Amino acid sequence: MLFDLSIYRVKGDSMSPYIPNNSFVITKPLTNMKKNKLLIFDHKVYGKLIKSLINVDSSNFFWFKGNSSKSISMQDIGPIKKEQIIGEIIFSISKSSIKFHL
Amino acid sequence: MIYNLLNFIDKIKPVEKTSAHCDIPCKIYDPITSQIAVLTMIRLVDLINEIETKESLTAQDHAQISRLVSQKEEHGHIVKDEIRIIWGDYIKQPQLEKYPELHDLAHSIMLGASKAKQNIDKSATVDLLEKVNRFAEIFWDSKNIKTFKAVSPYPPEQELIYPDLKK
Repeated sequence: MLFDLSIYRVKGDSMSPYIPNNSFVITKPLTNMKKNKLLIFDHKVYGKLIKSLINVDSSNFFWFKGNSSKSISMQDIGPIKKEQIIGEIIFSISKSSIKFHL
Repeated sequence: MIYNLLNFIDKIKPVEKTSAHCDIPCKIYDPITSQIAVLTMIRLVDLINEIETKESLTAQDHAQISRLVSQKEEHGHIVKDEIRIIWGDYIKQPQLEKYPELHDLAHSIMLGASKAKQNIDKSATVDLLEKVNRFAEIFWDSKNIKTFKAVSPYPPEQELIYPDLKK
């Protein structure tokens, strides 16, 4: 971690083609709960996951989905607490492109 | 260039991994779930229509209609979900080339299921079954499995496409 920034390597195709398998992503701590924001969180079954934020419900649970039809579903991921959120993606680096996610 | 640099660093001092986790590709696909869900919708419309013919409705009848409508809604979602899974996960370019109607057919099933959910209209549900049956026919043909038509041996006794799995 450097200046609150962290780097992760993405494994899997559920965010493809937006973030292809083997991309690198840079995260910063969560600043807001904007819909469709890409977040990394700690899942008790799947470990560290990268997914798109769909909604924060009235009980303050975060709900996520993948970007590909191959992704595990929102129901499989289940509700995520704010304490489980590790950070939000600010940019991603794949073999062919660098994308900013602001 | 940045990617190559990060890749190099990752090899020397591996960065933490995050998973874009996917479903396990179990390869278990079968349109029968969606076909039975449409049959259920047809049956539910029949049951609602039966209650509607009564001269006056009791509280029990109102409660029953509410349950039937709720179930019809749920089975409409099942139809859409099951078709979407096959369409999104199983159907690939070779199937699309062999059956060019697939995209339009899948989309028309989505629209048809919505229409069947929104209305108490038997013709909308029967029309939906026809589309889902065609989807099933294509699915089995893509696996080189012959199909046959038979009337379901239970209400609403509609014709379904079944795979002929006997060798």
